[in-house]
Amino acid sequence: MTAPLLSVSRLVMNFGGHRAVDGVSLDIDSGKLVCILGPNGAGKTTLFNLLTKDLRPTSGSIRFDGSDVTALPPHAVARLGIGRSYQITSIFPAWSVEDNVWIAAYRHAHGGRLVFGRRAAFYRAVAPRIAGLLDLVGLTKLRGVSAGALSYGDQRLLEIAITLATGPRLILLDEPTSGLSQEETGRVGGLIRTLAASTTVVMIEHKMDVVMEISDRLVVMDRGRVIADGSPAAVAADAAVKAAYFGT
Amino acid sequence: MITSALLGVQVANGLAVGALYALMAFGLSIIKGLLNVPNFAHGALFLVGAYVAWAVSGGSGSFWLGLLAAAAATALLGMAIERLLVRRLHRGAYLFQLLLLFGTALVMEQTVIAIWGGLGRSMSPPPWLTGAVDLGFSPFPRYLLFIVVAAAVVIAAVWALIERTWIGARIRAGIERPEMAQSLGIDVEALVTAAFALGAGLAGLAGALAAPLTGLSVTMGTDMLAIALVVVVLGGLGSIYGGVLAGLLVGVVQSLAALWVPQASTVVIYAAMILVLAVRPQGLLGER
Amino acid sequence: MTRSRMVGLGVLAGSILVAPALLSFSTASELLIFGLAAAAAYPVIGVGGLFSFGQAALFGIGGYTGGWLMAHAALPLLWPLLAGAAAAGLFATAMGAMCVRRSSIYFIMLTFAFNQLVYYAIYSWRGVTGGQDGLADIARPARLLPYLPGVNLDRPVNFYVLVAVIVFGCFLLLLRIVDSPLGRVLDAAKQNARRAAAIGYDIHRAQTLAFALSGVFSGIAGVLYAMLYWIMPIDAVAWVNSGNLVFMVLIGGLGSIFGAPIGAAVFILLQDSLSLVWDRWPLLFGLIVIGVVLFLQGGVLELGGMLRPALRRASGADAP
Repeated sequence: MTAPLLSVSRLVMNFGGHRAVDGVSLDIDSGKLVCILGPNGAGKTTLFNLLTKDLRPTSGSIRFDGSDVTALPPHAVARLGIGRSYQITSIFPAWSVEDNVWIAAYRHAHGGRLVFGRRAAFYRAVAPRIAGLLDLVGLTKLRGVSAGALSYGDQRLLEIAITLATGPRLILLDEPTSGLSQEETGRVGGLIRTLAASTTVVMIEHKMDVVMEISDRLVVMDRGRVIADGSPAAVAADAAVKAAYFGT
Repeated sequence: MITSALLGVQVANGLAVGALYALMAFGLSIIKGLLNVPNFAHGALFLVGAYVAWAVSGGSGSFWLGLLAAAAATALLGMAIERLLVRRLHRGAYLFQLLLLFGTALVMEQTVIAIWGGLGRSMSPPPWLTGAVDLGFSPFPRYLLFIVVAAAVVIAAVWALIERTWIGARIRAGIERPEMAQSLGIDVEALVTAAFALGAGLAGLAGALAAPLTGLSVTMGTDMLAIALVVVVLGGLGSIYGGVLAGLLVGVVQSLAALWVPQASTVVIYAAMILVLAVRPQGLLGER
Repeated sequence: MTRSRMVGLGVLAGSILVAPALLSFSTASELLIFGLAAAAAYPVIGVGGLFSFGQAALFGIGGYTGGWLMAHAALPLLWPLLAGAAAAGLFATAMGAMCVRRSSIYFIMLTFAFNQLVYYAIYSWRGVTGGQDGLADIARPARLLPYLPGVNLDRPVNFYVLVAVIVFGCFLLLLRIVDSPLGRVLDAAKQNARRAAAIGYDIHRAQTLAFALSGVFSGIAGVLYAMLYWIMPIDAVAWVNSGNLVFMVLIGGLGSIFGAPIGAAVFILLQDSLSLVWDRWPLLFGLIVIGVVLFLQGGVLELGGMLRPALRRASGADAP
């Protein structure tokens, strides 16, 4: 039995008097696709923010790939291989699609070195990788378009491409299909399945059809706690989950 | 030889200057709270206040009329600056707002010079405020005492306005929780104008009070602005009253520093500020 | 290098060659020196979106350091130039490291406070800096580099050539910085700081580095300025000068580093011509600042961009 890729232990996050994450412990094994479910305010996005160090936990610890990352700043955990997409689209709107991916691909290829003696255009070796990623998310034709001018769905796809370009070993996706049309949801769902074949994915998702179909494991949160954890079929049958989430 | 009397005078002096800093910082905090921009024209308003007080009290013979005219003129100016200029810019366009205020400050400063000339002036306090009162351990010049009392009264009045009234509650919400103030649907536009006028009036009043103490010079506004900004940062940006405390502290420290390093008392203030912020980035009373 | 960059550099080089025909050598030199100071502010203000009001301090530290050496020791120019660049670069690094962690308004006020710290330090340290009279008796060095034959920099044309070469060279380096991965990271942090960090960039480090580089080039501009009138005036360190430098970057246009020298030129020429009209020229200047901020936020480069379609239409109408 190998050690889990990500190991979260008794994680707590207080905002003033409100306990947004209340003692969450979770192990994520390499190569799995895990979905986190839960009603609004369950603490899912806060948990992601803790994992990427956008927030500093009140207590508890986070281990990634065997090392303690609890005290690291955001850029350091990103370099270790935790990549993330945001619930509210987070891209670089003034740049072309291609440049959006370039900044991530350069970081991956050159370790985030802040070179100032060479032009960015010098680093052309990352171009094939960028082309491959744009092809994967279906944005090749739009590569020269300013990211701020893309449709909402295309911005979501671009965001995933940026995340992938950093070469993550653990991908955190925060509602990747929210606000997407049926057709776009299908495309993103297919994309996530492709990713899951080669890497570890944790996603927050509300669309039950997507969740039930593609995930290996479901984690259900409510009011900052994990209330159910297991295979999709087992979790769907769980009485506590029905009460909290399905409202039956 | 530094005697206790000398120390006493310096502390008194420091408190008076500090009270002026506190008035300036208070006004800056109010404006900053609602615009989220440091008012780079605050020093020019201080300058205008001083010259208006000098001209009006000299012309009318009434010291009180001078103070009143200074506060009223600068409050009106502040209102005009906000209504006619600042409002035209997008909120959050910091750089443009700063440059706009920078340009406005230049115009005001130069207008003062164009009207009253570039030479320094002196203004004497009214006869009943000359001389000193004996506080037992040391004499306290009457005018210095007057500044401290006047500043305290004005700050208390504005405090009451902010803490006890409906308008004040809104100004305060704007300062401490700007996002919330907007989401609650408070009429932020009218509030910004009122706050700008209030802050500007405080600056003008500070200038008027300063005139008999330091004399009048065309650079007094710039010098004052620099220190007032430091005082606000030191007090803590989210805090309305931190600036008052920091103002008094800075005044006293600067005044005492002048005993030991007369040349460099102002440098001491800036160095102290950077030190404090290195240890306590949120300022003295600031949260976070 | 892209075509627009080549065109920009060509125009800049052409202007440097033509300037002495239209202006006195000293005005043309001053224009170039402030052009460099504004361009040095550009990586921080334009690319990084960090509104530093401490640029005059960097310019001044360079000028006073280099100027003091030139006033007290007959060294080749290389040494005062390096000393000024190093001193300003070091101070900028310290200032940047303390300031970049603060949010925008805090940042502005802190950089301003650093500027005042330097101003009052120079003001108070009379014995070394000359206090409010400025640092006088600065001698232009007799040689540029050690072991080379001397050159008479007191001849205006020689001095102008020296300034032109140094400024153009520094501008090329600054252009390289703007186009470098560091420049991209600064731009990314300006657009979306959280995303840039989530990708794996240490944005505070990048911003501090931008400050350091800005300091080095501001310092070089300061040393050249100290030589220009053989005196380093304390006004050069005053916060008003920081405001002027920000204004130069803005009036040229925040969108391109080529705006910086244009902005400096507009500023210096405006100042020179206004001062002929009226003693109270800063009042007119203040009105112009207000006008630009209200009506021409994109700066002169944008004005060119707005006029271009109109010009094209006009020339298109003439064509058969």
